[in-house]
Amino acid sequence: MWDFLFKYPAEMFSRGEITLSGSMWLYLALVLIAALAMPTLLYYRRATRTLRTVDRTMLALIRTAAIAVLLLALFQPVLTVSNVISSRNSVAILLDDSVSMRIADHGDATRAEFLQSAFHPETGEITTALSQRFEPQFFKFAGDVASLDPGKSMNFDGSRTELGHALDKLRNEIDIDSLAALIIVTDGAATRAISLNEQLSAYRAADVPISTVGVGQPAFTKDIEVSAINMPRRTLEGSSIVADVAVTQRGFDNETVKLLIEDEGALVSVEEITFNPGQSARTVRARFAAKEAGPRRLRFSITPSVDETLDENNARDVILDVDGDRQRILYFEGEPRFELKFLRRAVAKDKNLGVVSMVRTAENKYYRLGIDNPEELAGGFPKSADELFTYRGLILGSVEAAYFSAAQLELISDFVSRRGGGLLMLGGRRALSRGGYGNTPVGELLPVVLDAGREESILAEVSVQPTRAGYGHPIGGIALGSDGKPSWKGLPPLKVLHPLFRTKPGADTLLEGAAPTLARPLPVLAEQRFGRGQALVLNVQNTWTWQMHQDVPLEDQTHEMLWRQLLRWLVRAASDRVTLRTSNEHPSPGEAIEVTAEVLDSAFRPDNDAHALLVANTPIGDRLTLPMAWDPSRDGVYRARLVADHAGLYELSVEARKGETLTIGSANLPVGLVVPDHFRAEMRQDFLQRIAENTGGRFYRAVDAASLAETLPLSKSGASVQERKALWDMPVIFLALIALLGIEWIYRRWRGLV
Amino acid sequence: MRIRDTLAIGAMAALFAWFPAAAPGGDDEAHEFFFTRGIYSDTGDDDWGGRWAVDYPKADLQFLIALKRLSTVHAFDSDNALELDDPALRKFPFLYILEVGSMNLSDSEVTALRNFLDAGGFMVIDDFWGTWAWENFERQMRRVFPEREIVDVPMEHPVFHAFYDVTEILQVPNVYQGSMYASGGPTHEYDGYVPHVRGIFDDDGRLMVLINWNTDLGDAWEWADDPSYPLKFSTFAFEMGINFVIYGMTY
Repeated sequence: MWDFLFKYPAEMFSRGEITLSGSMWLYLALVLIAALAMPTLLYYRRATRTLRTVDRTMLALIRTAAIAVLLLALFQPVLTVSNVISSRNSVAILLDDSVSMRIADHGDATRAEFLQSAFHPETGEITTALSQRFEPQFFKFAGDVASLDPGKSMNFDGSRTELGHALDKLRNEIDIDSLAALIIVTDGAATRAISLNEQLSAYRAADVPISTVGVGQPAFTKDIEVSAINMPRRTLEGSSIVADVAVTQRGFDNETVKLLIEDEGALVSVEEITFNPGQSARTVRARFAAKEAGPRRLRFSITPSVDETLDENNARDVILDVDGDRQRILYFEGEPRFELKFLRRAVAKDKNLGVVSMVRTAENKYYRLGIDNPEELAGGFPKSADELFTYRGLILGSVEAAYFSAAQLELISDFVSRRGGGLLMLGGRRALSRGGYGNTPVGELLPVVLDAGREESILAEVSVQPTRAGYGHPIGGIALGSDGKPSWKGLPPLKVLHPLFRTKPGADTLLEGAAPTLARPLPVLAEQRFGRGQALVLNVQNTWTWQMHQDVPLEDQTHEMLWRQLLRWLVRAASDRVTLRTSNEHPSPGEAIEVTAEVLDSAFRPDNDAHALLVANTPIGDRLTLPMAWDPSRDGVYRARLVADHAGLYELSVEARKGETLTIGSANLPVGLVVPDHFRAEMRQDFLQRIAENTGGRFYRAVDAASLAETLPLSKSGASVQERKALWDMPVIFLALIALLGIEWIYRRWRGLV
Repeated sequence: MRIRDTLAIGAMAALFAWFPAAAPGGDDEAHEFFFTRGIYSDTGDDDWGGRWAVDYPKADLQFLIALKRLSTVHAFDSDNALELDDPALRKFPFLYILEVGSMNLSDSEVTALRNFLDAGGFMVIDDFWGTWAWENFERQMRRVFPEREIVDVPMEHPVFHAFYDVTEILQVPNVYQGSMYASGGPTHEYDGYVPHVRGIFDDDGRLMVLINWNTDLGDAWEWADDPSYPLKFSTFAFEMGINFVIYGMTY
């Protein structure tokens, strides 16, 4: 309708300028008409019939308006727009070649079918219209960008949509200064959550408006998606895993679905999820155990219902590296305590935990348990990093700070902050504040405030409960009710000696204890990160009560679970001397990945003198060897770039050699495990609109893209010309004139003036 | 009495005198170790008011003095006798029982003792002599653990080396025979000529029950301050007892 009335699209009016182009004669005519208007008015005043004032005013207004419309046409209005001369400027068109384009949500057609019908380089309808005005250059993109030369086809099989990379690469491949515009036809799905500011700024600086054509529905009618999984990617065998699973839904209000968690195909957990009305996303917490060592493929899935738009986003796979090694933990007890006996019993059958104990049974007399050789700890508590850092965890029982030398206290601090070890201090008469740890390097590590002058003890039996943070922690699941669900009711109270009520900022309280004699619950188990490692305080001294107490059934495993999970948690941050990281956790086949290795010496200081070699065993049995380059900007860091061509599991290891010493770190890298394009696959209208607005372009929904050739925002620089479009013959002018004359006639008839 | 023995006894007496007496009613709950003596049912054919109470409480108190003096064990100074089927027994994982030759456990005691040991408790048996007493004890333990064997504990077992290195099992006589030992008197009672240390082990090879048969450690503790009782035996008895405690608190 607009185009019929005004001849040109509204968008053209918005970017153009309207001026009058009438000649001087016309302006003289205006003066003449004005001069003639005066006698006309006078004539009306002396009309043969007496008119009422209101009629006279109305008729004069209508007639004046008619004359004004006529004059407007006579002044020859023109619309001046900046336009591009055909065949001089080119337009780049980026077409999405990713797998999400196969989703059938463009009416009954797939997104790919729309793209082919509208933007096929030779036969597309919109392509044809664009070709009449521009020289289009076609590119397809998904994980990478490729020119869509004649003869090349689109496969719609890219596993991800890397728009940022595409914009960067396009900028390098073509001279964007010659572009009148860039058109991106995409659903925007799976574009990584990275800012495109840098890329968009480059196009904006080159004055290239980016227009986006959004293909697909911005919201599916019915769909459910396993959106994200938050869980550790590496753990010790036997650890309890807490996974937070985010699930989003459309059209599942009031419905209940089951989230299944499988470990290499074996079901390990089932969680029911009910969506309240309007609740588009929910996060559920699942617990399961990492029972077997090695890389384990975990699948989180919800069985698709028949009418879902997309089934592939109902499952998400994660590789969990389960470490089967024995983690050595040193437990130093300042006096014989049953806590030691029962702790040792709790983990005795755990092949992943090796607790080495040293008990001071008399002054300068130690009883060593679980040692690997007669020399181990023969000289008492370790005095060097080489000795102490062989352990991944350290438990200090009832031993006073004064037992240690200043150097040993510093060593313990380094053990946590530099080596990444875990320190656990237990409650006891010689521990914590009573042990004189306030104002020592060890006291600084601890998550609780050791008040100077608060060495007095309280003796309370506290009922232990997890805090909110504790329930979300592997510790929160150690106590199970008869139904197998976490339950802390019925556990006997434990003894507390230390009046520790305050934790440090940044510390988490996982368990707390309440007693009638206490004004408020006090932290029982608290933790905080410190440097690379972590420090915990368990401010009770008889957890063995949960094993021995009359009310605890013999078959109850709470005490065993407490120590097995707590000690696993304790050593979780302790790293090897060579650690690997990859730039992308879930790369697609063919993607280049940066592998970063951090190499530490025996005292866990960065080692800049190592020769690092990346060895990759590929899924097809090849062995790739790549030298790693030392990064001068970061101590102890070496880098290499690996192209993972094949889907499957890449076994990576880094061999760091220094002299005769060879240290090896390893990691597993799943390639092609997740197809990112299947997730967040709705057309991301807001995202595409922002790109257009940011660069002076325009966003088109696919159904509105037919006018793209005419309305495409173009660069104001380059080979553009001013184009003048005559407006005097716009139908709206003549229709207005006819309407005004008609209204006058009707008014006269109505008022009996004819 | 020889001069050497006199000096030794004097030294031991001085050792005990060095420690103050126990303070009942103190902060007992804060202590880590309680020397808990088991009260059990017996055949009741004597006038002692229960065989469980032999040497009680002096033996217990004197052992505690030595334990505290010689080790870092934070022990409660006073005695702590409990019936076997008292639920509170499970708060004290170390249990001492003697004179089991006339022990006659009730069903509830059998169940309680089995659960105590299965949960992780450690029991030391002492002061019963001869074949007849052994048979009664074995019969009672069969009720507690029908499926577990009673075996000799080898000398290389940690229970003999947890604090002191004990390399030989001595027969520790009662106070009467101890006083006669210097004059060549025997150390055995009835037909218990050879001392034995036997044990009942759990499924993981840990000692649950340690049996001192044909020996009387309790008397050696009780009469350690008696100049007529040979220091050799009381010293050995303290070494064994402290080893038992350290073992019981670590394994």
